[in-house]
Amino acid sequence: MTARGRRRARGVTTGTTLPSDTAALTDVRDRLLEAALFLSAGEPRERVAEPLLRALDVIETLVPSADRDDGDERP
Amino acid sequence: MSSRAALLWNRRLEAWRRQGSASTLTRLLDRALLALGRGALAIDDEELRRILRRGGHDESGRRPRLRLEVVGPDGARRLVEAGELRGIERQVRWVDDGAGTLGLVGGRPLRALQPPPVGAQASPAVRLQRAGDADERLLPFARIALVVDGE
Repeated sequence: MTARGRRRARGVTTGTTLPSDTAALTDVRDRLLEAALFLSAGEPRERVAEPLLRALDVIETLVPSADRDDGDERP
Repeated sequence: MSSRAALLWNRRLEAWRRQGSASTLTRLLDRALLALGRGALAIDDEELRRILRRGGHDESGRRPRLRLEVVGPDGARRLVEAGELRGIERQVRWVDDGAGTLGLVGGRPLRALQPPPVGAQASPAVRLQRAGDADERLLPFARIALVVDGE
């Protein structure tokens, strides 16, 4: 079942943060902190991108896909 | 992230790299922040968001000096230099090898700079590598926060 499906099954609408989401949100925050500190330390871009991509992995499980702006935009 | 989404992300990242775009990181940051905002999952720290969104720079274009404030299980506060941080770990398993406390991170044993919470078999810790140290060390924490110099 997709993340969206799981949320529907739980009767959850976008914008509601569940207690079960707390650990995931904490993880996202930690990864953003890592990225900010790597930026501050002048680490290479790839090193900074790594925690951001990990944060996005978690976000993917939290945000229903239809609510994400992740269309087919070209870089 | 699904394998398809991960593939798309990696393709985008590679495309941005090939183009030599200076905005790769900014795009990634924007992406993360947009997703957070839309899902009402925003982090509280506006300063952090501003810095991330600006790719590590403040409004005047300077790169602010950031530190990680670590509050230990005993309540003691320490400031960690950005360059010392190697990672934030939420589930470090602690063992005693007779010579002291070791934390296991991905199966890798690392020495603890301070003891973990009393009786805890697992707890969060930051991985640090100080200048001159060959090995990473673990600093257990109860709470962490970003600190911007000058504020």
